[in-house]
Amino acid sequence: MIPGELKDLVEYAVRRALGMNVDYAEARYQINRSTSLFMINGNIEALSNVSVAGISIRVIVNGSMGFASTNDPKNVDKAVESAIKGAKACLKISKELRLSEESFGEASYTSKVLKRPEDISPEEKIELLSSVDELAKEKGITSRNLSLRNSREQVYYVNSEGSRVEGDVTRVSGNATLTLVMGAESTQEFVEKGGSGGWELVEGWNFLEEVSRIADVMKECLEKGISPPRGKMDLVLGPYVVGLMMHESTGHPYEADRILGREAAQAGESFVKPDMLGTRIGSEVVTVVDDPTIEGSSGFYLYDMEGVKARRRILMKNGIINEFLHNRETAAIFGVKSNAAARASSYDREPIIRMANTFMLPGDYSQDELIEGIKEGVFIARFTEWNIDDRRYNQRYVGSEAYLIKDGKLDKMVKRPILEITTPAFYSSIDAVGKDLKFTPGLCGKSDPGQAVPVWFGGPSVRLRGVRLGGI
Amino acid sequence: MGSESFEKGFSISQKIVDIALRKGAVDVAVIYNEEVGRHLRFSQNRADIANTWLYKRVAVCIGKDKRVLVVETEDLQPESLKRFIEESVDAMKYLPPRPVYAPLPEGPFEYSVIPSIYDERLLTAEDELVDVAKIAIDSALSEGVKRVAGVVKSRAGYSCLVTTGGVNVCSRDSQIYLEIRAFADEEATGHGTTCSRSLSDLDPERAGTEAGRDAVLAKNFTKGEPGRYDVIFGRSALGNLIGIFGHMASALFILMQMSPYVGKLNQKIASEKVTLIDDPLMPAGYGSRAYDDEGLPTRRNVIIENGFLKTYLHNRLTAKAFNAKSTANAGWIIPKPWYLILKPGDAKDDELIEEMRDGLIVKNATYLRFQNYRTGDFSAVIRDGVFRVKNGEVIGEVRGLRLSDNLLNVLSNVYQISREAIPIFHWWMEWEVPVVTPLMAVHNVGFTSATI
Repeated sequence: MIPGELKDLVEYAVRRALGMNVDYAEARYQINRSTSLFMINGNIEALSNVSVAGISIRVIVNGSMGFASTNDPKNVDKAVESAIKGAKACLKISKELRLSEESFGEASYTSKVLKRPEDISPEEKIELLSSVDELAKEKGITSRNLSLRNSREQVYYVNSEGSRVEGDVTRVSGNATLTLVMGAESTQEFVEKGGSGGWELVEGWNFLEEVSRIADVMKECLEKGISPPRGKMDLVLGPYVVGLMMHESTGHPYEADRILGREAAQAGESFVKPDMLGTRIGSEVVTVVDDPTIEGSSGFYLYDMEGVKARRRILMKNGIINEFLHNRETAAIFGVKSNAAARASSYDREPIIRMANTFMLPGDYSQDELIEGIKEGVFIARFTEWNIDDRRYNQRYVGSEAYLIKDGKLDKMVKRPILEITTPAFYSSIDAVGKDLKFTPGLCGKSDPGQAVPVWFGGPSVRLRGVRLGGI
Repeated sequence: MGSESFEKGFSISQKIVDIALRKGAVDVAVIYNEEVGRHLRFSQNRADIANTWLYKRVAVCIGKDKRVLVVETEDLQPESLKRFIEESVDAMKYLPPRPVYAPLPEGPFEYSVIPSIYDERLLTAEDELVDVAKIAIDSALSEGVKRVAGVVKSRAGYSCLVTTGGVNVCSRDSQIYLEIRAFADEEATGHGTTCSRSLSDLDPERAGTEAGRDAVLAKNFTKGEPGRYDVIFGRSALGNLIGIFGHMASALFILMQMSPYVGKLNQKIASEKVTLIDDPLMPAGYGSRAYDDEGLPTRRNVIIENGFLKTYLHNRLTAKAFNAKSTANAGWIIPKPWYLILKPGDAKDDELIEEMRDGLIVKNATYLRFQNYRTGDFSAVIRDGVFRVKNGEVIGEVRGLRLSDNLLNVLSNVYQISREAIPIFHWWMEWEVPVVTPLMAVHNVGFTSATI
């Protein structure tokens, strides 16, 4: 929990700002602590301990917004003055913004932790990394770069409209980057594990089994993989691929700040426009949600960084654009309530619209049934390279684990199939959705200054009809 | 932040060194940083928010019994700082020793004085940032665009480095940059950027004008056909690409098999037109600095010379692993370039275009992702002006293409470099190293496209 004297500091900052005639004030004390271990080819490169902590204040003065932060409790007055000074300096070109009206109260929440990761000895953590490294080495993986991280985010938030929220979320994550070199050829894979909770999550990861399987796949791909077919065909995409696609081509373009152009200079805008709510963009079998309230998820929170209670957001419902992700600023512009999408990666960052855990709801098909329905096509289970344009319209995913489908059955491995497709074409081509929903942890980057926040990407397998595998 | 501040920085740093030594540490390096950051975001031609950051923070690298610990903290209350350092050092006993270890460099050292890298006005520049944004916005709008978005960001302060190698040094520096993106319509965009060490050297008018001009030019478009084209890369695109060309020389990435330069030292990896230099001693350079994080005096390193890979970038640990000497590019864990310079050629910018028979100008390349770092296969989203050139004339924008090639292919196919080099820094330079770059022309670059 945040110590009492620091909570008092937060309360003081809001009172101090209100005493200086601002229209709105909020303050937040946030502590982000993490411990990371890095192992390269069996050797611990370094141990890293990071503690980022401080207070921020955000104010609105005549429709102009200012934000300031400091990690020195003695500097709070200066921070308050800086936020107000900044807001006033912007008055001559400000947007005259306002915030949506919300109901506020006092609340607190924590992630469920059975075994605090801080209490686990470094020896046990190193043992886990060593066992993963040794297994991958035995499997012939040329280079193994591994990391293990535990972090804790503690927040105390107060605003001038009656919100007082205290949050405490512990997270664990593990990553492996594997390189296999065989003669002149090489291939790389990434394995990610993570969620909110304690060491008990790590114990349930099956990190070893997954690395083992992927090491085998890498070898098979280099030894036996054939060139992928090109042209129009049917595809099955696995949960690992679909999860990221949900994040990139539904989550991001449905962020209302992107839709309104606030991210235009950096991450970009969106092909989705305000008047597209209610427009069909995908087939009826597709429903995509973003949900911060999933216990154990990387994107877990119950109140956002504006004090608004979190809930599931149904972004696309049966193929129709249903809801955007909002903070209080964009909600006021759209004439709706905020759906609690405001997050801040640390005390020195303004709260902005972010995803939490974005995923497609599962359907009824097994993965085998999806594959059985294809005469000739490709199954892409995993990807390496990907990107998507800044309107979130034109995207590319390059398969790393992929197989030919012949007469409803998996056949030979194919190397590097390239799916390059527009967002409406992707969602419209899905004719069946699997029941095998799986989540992958990741960090989502956005904004200037950059903010990386933990999220889950989620998806079941899906079947696509009549799309094109390409390349140059 | 007068000279008394340096005393504070030295004092806190020395106390941390002493705490670590008492716990049995052998090598200790402490960086104390105190600065004011300011930031103005704007979109739809209006300000979104003004940010101010007041920082006092510490980073520590500790070596003990061939183990390495890195600690960063912003909790500088004496008792909690002491506890944090002590507990962190205690945890080191659980680490296995590294097979390769080297002590911190033994100083003291003489450092270059790099002129014109500090502007005190940036400590208190709330109003000036708004003025800068307004100049850029108005410049872009005067070219005929509908709307613009961007940021102005500054920082000013000082840092101290104290090490058990006898290094005790403090220095002030400041930075300011502006990035602006202009929209003539939904997809017709242009990008401009300007960065400097001082307010007076910033050129928001040029950045705004370039963004506006390109956006208007991009209104006339056709759909691009995938294939291979000769390309002139613009400076915003090269900001991203050169940052990667430089970082791939980091010796840690070589050890990790995460670079296409693995096994290619002293080999030809690029066209003879390409000379890439890391020059942290450039006067007024946006990325200039006199010492690295281990206290070694920085120096000018030629990474690629006339197409040959001349060196990897080292800190003390990677240097030991490679039986080499540090290149003064520490990063305690990852060696990194400071200020990358693509050596200019002879041609004017316009001459590159005039001499192009059939090809593309790619003004900005973003979201670059590798299929395989070791081979260098990658793709990137191109934007903010992708212009078709025929017989030396720009005939309009092409849309829907994606840059898709190999890093070594791009380097090898460079056929011309222009002579006007400009400092570049912007958000999509994800490796966060500023560059100085002219234009670069490359034969036979691959582009793909979504066809449905």
